[in-house]
Amino acid sequence: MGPLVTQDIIGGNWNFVLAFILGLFFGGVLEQAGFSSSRKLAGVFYGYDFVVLRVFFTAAITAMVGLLFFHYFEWIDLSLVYVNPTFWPSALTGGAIMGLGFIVGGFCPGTSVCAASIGKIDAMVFLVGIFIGISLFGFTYDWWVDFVFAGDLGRIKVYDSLGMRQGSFAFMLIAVALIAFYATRWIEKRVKKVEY
Amino acid sequence: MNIRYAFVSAIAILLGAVLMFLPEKQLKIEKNPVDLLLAINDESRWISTDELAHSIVEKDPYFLLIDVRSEDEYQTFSLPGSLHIPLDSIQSPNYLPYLQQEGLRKIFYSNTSAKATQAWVLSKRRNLSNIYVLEGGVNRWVETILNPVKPASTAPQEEFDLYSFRVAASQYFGNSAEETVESEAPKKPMIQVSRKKKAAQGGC
Repeated sequence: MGPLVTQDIIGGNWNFVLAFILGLFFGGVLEQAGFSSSRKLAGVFYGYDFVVLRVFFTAAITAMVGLLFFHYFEWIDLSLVYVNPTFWPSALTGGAIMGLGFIVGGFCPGTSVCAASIGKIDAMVFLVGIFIGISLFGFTYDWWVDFVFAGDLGRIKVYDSLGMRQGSFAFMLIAVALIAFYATRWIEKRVKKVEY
Repeated sequence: MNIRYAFVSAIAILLGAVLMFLPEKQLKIEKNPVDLLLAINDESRWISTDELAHSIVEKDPYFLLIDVRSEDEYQTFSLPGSLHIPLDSIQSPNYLPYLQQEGLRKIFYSNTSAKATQAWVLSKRRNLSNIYVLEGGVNRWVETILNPVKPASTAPQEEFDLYSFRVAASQYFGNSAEETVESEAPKKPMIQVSRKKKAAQGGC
């Protein structure tokens, strides 16, 4: 049956409408989780708040388990789901820049929009920074293009690279997630509380 | 430890364990036969040589020409900018990324429409979208675009317009049609530049 958009069950224009609605809910959930506070987000780097890790890891394993079961029940065809190709040099560089920006600015791109919409000034400044960065990259794209598409590994998946079965990797990831959840609770109890 | 967390963790572990022992499953991605039959009867897959010539001349970036003929034929003559995927390897996973590009119109062509249509049906069956067939193939291309025939003098104006487009296209593709529109290259006007004579040099 699915994926709905790839198979034209949901048309191209409805795709955007649905994306907008889902985006609203996503923003709402981020706000509910407290992700419009840069202190909470930055907490994961200083060890006093690991909610970011728990929320996103939970989202990831929920989506993973859901997709794998849906695939098994033939509700979605995973071979039609788009997987980004991996370009390792640009992925590493991008990850480093993103991580640095996260620590310095206290937001990741999605949460900055979320925080700006509830009136956080630091998030608005962060957004301006994002647009300056995007524009700079866009205008100087010709300089980077060779680097951006260097080291193409294709559409690789972790379990293929590790030589594991998909299901075994899923189980392992769930186990890692649960261990991480309990470990971060343990760390939080031992790090001095930060009021924010 | 919170009892709720323990409960949710147990469910997660259980689901993971089930996933671990589920057999691998490869879904069929084929189009169902009824849809395929409807698609085959649909005439919208044809692209005329004139439309294609327009796209090439206007440097339309959103199409990909795919030559499904043999290697020899491709080497002998191919349409400008075309990619060679022989019919027998159209199903090969190596070429799948080319065919899966959603935003591009993939246009198959062969000498006539026959092989290209086979390639089209095979691809349609694999649920690939935005695929077309060049109507009449290379033969029609040579007849209409490279060597256009002048319409009879009683033909309607549209045919003459089409003919003049084809003559222009033919020139664009480097094959001067027999009746080229005479146009002398404009002579460059000679501009006499009057240089200032240098003042007599010498003296002290």
